[in-house]
Amino acid sequence: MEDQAPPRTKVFVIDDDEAVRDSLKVLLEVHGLEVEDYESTGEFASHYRKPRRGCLILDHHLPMLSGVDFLNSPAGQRLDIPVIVITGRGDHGLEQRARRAGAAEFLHKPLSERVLLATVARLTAEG
Amino acid sequence: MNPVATAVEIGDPKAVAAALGTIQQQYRRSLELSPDGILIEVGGRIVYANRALRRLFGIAGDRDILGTAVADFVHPESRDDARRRNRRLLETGEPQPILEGRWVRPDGELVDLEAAAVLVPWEGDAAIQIALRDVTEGNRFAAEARAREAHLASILATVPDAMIVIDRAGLIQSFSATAERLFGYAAAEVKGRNVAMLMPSPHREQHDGYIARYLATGERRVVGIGRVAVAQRRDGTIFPIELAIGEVEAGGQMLFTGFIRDLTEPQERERRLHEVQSELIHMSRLSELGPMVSTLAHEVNQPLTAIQNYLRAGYLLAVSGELEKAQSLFIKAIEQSERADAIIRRLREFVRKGETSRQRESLPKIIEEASALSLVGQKAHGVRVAMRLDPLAAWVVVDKVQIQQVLFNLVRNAIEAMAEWSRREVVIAAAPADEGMIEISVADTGPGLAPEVRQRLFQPFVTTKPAGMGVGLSICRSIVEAHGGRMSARDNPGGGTVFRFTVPGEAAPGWPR
Repeated sequence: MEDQAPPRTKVFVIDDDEAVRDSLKVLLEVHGLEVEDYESTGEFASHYRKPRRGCLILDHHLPMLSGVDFLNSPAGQRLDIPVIVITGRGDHGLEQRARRAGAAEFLHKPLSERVLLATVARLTAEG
Repeated sequence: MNPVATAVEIGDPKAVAAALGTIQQQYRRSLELSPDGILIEVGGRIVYANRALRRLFGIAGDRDILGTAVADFVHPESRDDARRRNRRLLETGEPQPILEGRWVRPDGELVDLEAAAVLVPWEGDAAIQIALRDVTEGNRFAAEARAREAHLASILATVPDAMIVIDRAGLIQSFSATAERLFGYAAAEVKGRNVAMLMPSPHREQHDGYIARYLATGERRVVGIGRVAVAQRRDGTIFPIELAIGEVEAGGQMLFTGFIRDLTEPQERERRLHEVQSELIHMSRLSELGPMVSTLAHEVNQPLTAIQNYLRAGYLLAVSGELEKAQSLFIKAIEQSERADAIIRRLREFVRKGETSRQRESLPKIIEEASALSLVGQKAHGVRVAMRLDPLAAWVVVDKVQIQQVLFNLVRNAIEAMAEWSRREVVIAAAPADEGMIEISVADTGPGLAPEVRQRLFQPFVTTKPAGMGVGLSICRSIVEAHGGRMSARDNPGGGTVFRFTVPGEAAPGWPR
């Protein structure tokens, strides 16, 4: 509550699972973050405007275009905020592919609240 | 003394000069149109260069090279040849044989050119006319071919793979030094013998048939595809290999070249450590948990993630007094836990009904592949694996991947159980059982099962392994039971444990024919 003076950090969430998306939004908002959530990368890309400070939490397992494929696409490559890729599966080699595609962090579901918040704070810290 | 002076004495000087001028013009025009690059040099300096030559030298626009020394464009390594050729030409006046040499273009690029030189008169001087043709392309191909050959030779000299060449009858034509080391035979002992001697049953008996079938149908099962298989050493031990086969027709004779990589070899393991290990960890994790459990893990992760998020957010809200908001989140968390429950119920149903893809499969192949995989890695070093497969148990109706996971688990368990023992043998057997079922057994020579473990062996989360989760055998039994079979464990009469399970054979009731 003391840190309300600077502009709020904006977190974009892309996950096709409604419950995961909604619960993540609620949790991040309780922690004072501003959240915009999207069901698909396409929906996100058409609404996206660069925030003063922010990051993207991107689920890998999306029905149309996977998270990593999105990062490798022109729209993904143009992204100018840090990206945290999340996955619910122990995919072999996925972390490496995600990082190669430009992801700043890679986290497994279920997400640890502490790790998630620390990661968001670190990636959006003024540098 | 020059030709022009002689001509002048003969007739009207003006007419002669005019005629000569015309001839020279026509000559120049023909030079200009030549597809070969042509340059004329007098006293070593260029006095004329045609269009093709400018192209050849990459000269753009009207930048001129007239007056420059020809030697400037000849690569130092070709200069002596060129000088010698010119001297001979000037001495004899005879056209000189085509000389291939390296040239340096004004832009610095190297080109290989074929040069034919003749003596011509040029404005009263004895000049050398050189016709040039680019052979760089041809040379490049030759150089590439040479490089490829050298590359191939270096690969063959350094690959850790054993190489065996056989003919269409399966007879060994060549047997590399690595192969000698790997199989324990000298090349001289095996040359001319059937390659089947290097395989365990049932391949030993069937290999001729594999070649015949391939030659007859062209259907590729191993050739050009590669697979993990097992091979047999001179001392009878069986070991896992990675096999790649290429075919070649040389001098009208069909030859097959097999590259064999020992998957137990320590050096090889070193090199492929990362790859195989991650493959293995992935495989064993998959097989310990079973495919449906892996799916379950993912499916349950979604509601679990949501539940945790809702409860954490709800807790924080409740603590700060926002009870109504917190309540709505708790409700959502409950809904998500119901969702997780439904997923697990559905999967349980799935296993019970066994809605898996059952097909008629070759049992020897299933056993072969699964055991080859379970033999990968350090733990399997020095373990003898024998197979006793009854030909009457050759076909089963199963979900291949699932049954391979059962076998993989059992063989892995057997190997791990024998880790501390000196006599380490695994016997995999298959034979017909009652009611059209086929019984498969995996026997080890390990310490056997402690009574308290055996009682609860197939229950989840019972394990004797320090790092095990104890779900492997319970999953195995679920798979077997979903196939309508049974699974049991007994003492091996000679020491150790025998795991047996049954699966439907092709004669089992319910299998449509």
